Amino acid sequence: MAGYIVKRFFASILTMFVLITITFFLMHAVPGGPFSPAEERKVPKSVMEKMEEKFGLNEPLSVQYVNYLKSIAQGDLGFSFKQSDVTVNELISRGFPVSAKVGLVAIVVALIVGMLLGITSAIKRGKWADWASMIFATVGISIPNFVITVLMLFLFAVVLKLLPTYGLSSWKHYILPVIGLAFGPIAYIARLMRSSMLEVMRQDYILTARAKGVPEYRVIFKHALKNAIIPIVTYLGPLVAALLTGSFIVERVFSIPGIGRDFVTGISDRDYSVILGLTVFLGLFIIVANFIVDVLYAIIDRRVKIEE
Amino acid sequence: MKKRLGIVLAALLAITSVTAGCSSSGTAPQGENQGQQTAPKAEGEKPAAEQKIIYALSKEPEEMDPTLNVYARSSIVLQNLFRGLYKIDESGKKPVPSLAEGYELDATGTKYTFKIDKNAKWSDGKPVTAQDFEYSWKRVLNPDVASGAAFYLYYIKNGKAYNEKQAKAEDVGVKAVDESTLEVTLENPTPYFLELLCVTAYYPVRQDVVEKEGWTKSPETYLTTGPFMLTELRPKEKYVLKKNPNYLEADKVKLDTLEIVFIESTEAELAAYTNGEIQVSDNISPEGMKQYQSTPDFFSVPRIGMQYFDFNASKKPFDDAKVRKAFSISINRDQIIKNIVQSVEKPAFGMVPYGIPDGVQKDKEYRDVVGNVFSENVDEAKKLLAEAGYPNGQGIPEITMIVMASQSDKDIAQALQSMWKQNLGVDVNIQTFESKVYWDEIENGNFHIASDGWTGDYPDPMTNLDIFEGVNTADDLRWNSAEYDRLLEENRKISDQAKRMENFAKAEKILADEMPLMPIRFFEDQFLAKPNVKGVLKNYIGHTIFEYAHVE
Repeated sequence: MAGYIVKRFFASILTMFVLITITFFLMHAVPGGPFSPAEERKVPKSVMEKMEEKFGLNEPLSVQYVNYLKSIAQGDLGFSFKQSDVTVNELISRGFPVSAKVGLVAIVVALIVGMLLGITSAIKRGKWADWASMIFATVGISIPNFVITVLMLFLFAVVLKLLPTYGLSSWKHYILPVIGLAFGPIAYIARLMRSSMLEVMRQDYILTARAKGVPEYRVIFKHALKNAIIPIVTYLGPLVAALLTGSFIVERVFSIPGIGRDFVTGISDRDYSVILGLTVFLGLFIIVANFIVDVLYAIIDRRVKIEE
Repeated sequence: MKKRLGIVLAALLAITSVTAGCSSSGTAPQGENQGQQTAPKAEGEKPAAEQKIIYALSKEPEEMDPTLNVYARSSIVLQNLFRGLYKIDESGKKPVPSLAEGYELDATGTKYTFKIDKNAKWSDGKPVTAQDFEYSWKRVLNPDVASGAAFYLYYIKNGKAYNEKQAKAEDVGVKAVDESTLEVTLENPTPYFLELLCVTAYYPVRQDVVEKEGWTKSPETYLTTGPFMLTELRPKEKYVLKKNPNYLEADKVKLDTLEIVFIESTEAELAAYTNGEIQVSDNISPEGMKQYQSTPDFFSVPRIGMQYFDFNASKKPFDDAKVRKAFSISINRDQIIKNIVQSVEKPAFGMVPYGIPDGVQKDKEYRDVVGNVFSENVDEAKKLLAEAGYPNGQGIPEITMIVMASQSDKDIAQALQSMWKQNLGVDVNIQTFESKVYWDEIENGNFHIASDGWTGDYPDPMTNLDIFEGVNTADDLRWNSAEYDRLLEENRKISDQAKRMENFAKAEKILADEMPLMPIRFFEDQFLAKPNVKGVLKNYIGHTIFEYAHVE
């Protein structure tokens, strides 16, 4: 196990290095820079050049690259170009907890609802409950996130006036964003759960359990679920990484101060340090999440052995 | 067993219905506001309503240090937090003394002496001094600070030279003679200097806090001089501003709390306004605004800016003034504004927008005094095009129009395209670019026609006309006129308003005859305010000011 972890650790560092390098040069290859005008031209060129000089953008790209690597080795992601008094570390440290909080609730909701729907439809195969959950799941997978969020905002906030529209200041503020985030994953988990459950229920040991007179709920929740859940755990890695780091659409529509939006606005602003910093953070997060899933896998499924 | 499953399903249903059930029993947000209502203060005529306004901006301000700020959105916040020597008055049109008591101007028209009001204080109660202004203005110009706003202070003697390391800080024409006397020397007489003083770059910051790292990030170190002060700073979520009791005119400020929340999506902002969660809103899509256009909530105020299109005068066929003019007078601006932009703005038949007073008849607008400098006429356009050698558009080279990749720009471009096809028989290709690369395309001259726009900084025709001077058009229109440049240069040196206005009108006439640009519409700022919110001010640059606002 220890050897495996060490191996994974070095592989991760290499991955991060490649990720940073590619992002750095791609980002600079895109035309336009952080101080290029966006809406109207206002700042004279000579003044703009002075600002670029201050941020070291006049240096050759290779020098900038080495400087960035040096500072990131010390954990310093630099200042945002757009909001010159905010560091990227600050941006992440205050935005990530917000995104993560909403994301965590969404993960829990997605898991509970998705699994229950999946199990129900597997057990009630061919009955109305199965049809209903699978129609819901198909709809959930097909309708894009931005349609659902805007529709919900309109329905619950404007028409029914039940829920608030922006921010996260009370539990009521969480409802719409959580549904918006969880909707797709619920559908996906439900379908995954259904097919995996159906497969497990056909296995001999289930037949044995039933023959022994084990109550059906125990057959399902104790014997079948344990094996049926494995594909869900696999899906959990990317899901956790995606939901905890925030969603551009949901955060934008519900004005949530998370980091999901920063990525996209960072790119359109050419805010180099924000783009790189968030890429590094997201990259690390996905690597760690996948690693945890791999370890979990071994714990849940004894048939999987981690190679020493 | 079936029963148990039923229970599971029932539980599931319950989970989903709990959310709906609880929320419906909760109070609507309008109710919440009532719940938080504070008791009316016993100051006699204080109104009973809670003096709190929630206002939304699309994003957090980029820059909270006025000496570094060049952003429009940040200016809105800063204009509520800071005051300088002068401010724009309650009408939103003219400058009046703020922290200064007044000024004296010497015979040359270049040396101002400002007396700073003895009662002017920072939000921590310390007096605002002339030294504070000297420090701040030199900070803006300091080449090491590399402020993007430096060019706003190039009017000051040696301002530009110091910023470009050609002069020393001591040479800059700003000097604190004593605690309350500020001497300012300008490069040229600048009749709109008082208006310039209302730009955030001229606002003071205090040396002892600015020299601490990150002074703009905490309400404790964020000292202001204006009607409000910052009391809570929740990045990307909201800024809470409270009335500044040390503000010079604090007795006139009725609002206790101004909460600025950040709502990026225009749909969400419309929902929040309709829902009563915000009381003042100006980031709403044209479709959303349309719903409110006939209600008392709707306001539209001229801003000193204009949308126009550049013609590339270095490229055929637009090197010929006749072609430029033909293109410009063969479109229907009214239709574009009403049907495409869906606003109540005015079509532009001149280059100086509404909102700028005439220099002589101060109570009248320059635009009304001068009138339209050209008009639309399809027949005339056809004739001009034929004279230029392209009858009915025949033989005209391929034309490319570039616009930014926003929906409204694309829609306008398509409308123009079909108007030219219909009226002149000319085909125009449209290319769209992302905003960050768009200006490079213009700079490199890869266009025949390009969408452009400009909002001035001070209400004098100069702010809208100097962008077409030869020194400024090399990167876009590629057009220049020696006579035009001369008229503007003369206006920089004189202070006789009658002569100045005459020169501006002549300069505008040159633009209309030569038509290096095609004016489309004069900008107006549209905003919504709940009927019980009074006194919200949009000034001529589009800043929303709450100094005079209150809730009824």
